[in-house]
Amino acid sequence: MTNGINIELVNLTKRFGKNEVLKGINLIIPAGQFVAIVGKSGCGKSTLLRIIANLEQKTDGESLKDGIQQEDFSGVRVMFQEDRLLPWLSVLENVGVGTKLIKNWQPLALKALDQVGLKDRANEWPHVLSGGQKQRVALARALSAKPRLLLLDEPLGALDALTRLEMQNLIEELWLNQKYTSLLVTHDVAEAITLADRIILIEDGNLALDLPVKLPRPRTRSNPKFAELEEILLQHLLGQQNEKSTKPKELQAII
Amino acid sequence: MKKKWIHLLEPWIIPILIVVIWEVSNKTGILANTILPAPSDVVKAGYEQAVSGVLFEHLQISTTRALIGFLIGGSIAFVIGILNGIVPFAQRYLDTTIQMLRNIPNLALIPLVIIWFGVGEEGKIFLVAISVFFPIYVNTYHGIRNVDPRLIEMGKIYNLSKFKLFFKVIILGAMPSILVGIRYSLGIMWLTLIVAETVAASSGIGYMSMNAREYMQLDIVVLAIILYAILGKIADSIAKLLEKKLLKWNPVYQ
Ligand SMILES: Nc1ncnc2c1ncn2[C@@H]1O[C@H](COP(=O)(O)OP(=O)(O)O)[C@@H](O)[C@H]1O
Ligand SMILES: [Mg+2]
Repeated sequence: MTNGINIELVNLTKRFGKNEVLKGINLIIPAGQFVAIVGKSGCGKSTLLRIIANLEQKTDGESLKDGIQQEDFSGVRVMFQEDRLLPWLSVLENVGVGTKLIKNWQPLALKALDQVGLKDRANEWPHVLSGGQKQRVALARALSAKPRLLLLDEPLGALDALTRLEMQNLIEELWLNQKYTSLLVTHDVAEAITLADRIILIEDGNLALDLPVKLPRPRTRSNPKFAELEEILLQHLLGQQNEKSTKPKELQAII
Repeated sequence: MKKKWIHLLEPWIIPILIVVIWEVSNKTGILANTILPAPSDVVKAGYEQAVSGVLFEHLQISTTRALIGFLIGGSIAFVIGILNGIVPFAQRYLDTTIQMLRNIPNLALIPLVIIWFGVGEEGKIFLVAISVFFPIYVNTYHGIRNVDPRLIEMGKIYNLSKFKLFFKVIILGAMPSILVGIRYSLGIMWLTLIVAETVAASSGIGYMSMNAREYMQLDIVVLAIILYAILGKIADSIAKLLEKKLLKWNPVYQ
């Protein structure tokens, strides 16, 4: 059962002036899937996410949600590396922004805040919270209106290692409960393996790798398969310059 | 406990000392009454003016002028600042013109204002309105332009209504800057009014002071100066209170 949005990218192309960032991406993400996108810094991960979110115009190709070209943000929520909380609103009202602050938003916001374990901080200002807590508030805000697609652009990039692990658990748990489609951009290969059903590697504006992750959840690094996958991904990321010929197909065969 | 008492007292020791020395100098004849009246004489003058009701009449007239001018100039500035901050089209047409006018010292308009309005109320209100316009306009405009675009983008992703986006994100985000404008303009407001009332008025504290000068009533002249200081302080305190109330989310104002 899923209430997620399915995504279909057809020959999606994006140029900033002469700089071709995405060179014809073809990708189908079924509703409810958790997909991680990895790739070197500057390879176009954020751009891809922003086009799917309608925050950026595509140059060419199609970006379809549930089979159609949607212009608005309904059902789609984005979480960024910065928390983007409004410092002048209480924690609760910030979460309420997710429900557009229209009538009777308080119970919804409070429930979402409870889900991330910060119910008792509802009436405080954001600036008194730690970085991890702020991101949890941002997550509660994203989830307060029952999104059908959650886009996460390195949301844990600025957090310390321990907080990051906690947040990963939380992200997984909430996704398992609510079954929206989830798209996570990350530079942390282990994070991608921990969370995703499928890992996509972008290289030179192309899809270089499309790797299913079939490990049982919750996933731990102690699983040898985990290390194996990590090795493959790291090899690929680090060895991009040397071994451009590696085909996704061959790699999938190895697994 | 005792230490706290002394801390509270400390800032007042030097002012009190000055007043005492001033009083003693006057009474012993070191400082002539024709140069500067004794503090006790100023208090006496204040008391006499207050009892006769003249003082409050002038005070009320000056305050009314200041407030009306502030409200007119401030609200026009606020609206245009918002307009230029969020509508690029309006900004392209209006901002340069306003920036050019800003370079005219507003007191340079006094002769023109006297010709236009004589010594009537309109002239002084006009001058006050003009003087508060620029600080409020500039700070409102910049406050709005400097709201973090990432927060505005966030508001849009979350489908906030235009109304909510405007109040909850843009106006509240611009508030620190808007309040700087208000605080600054409250200072300018009194300054402009003092000069305007001194040059062209038949009532108000500035007039009271100029009138007293003609009769060499130095105590009243000094009284007027002190009144202006008090009024300025009150205005500043109100602005500070506003900041404390409206910006309590900001650790800087806690
Ligand atoms: N608004 C923009 N204007 C011009 N170039 C941009 C813009 N946004 C991103 N780029 C360029 O597109 C490329 C991909 O950026 P981005 O998607 O942010 O990479 P990633 O998120 O993978 O690190 C970079 O070379 C970046 O400089
Ligand atoms: Mg990025």
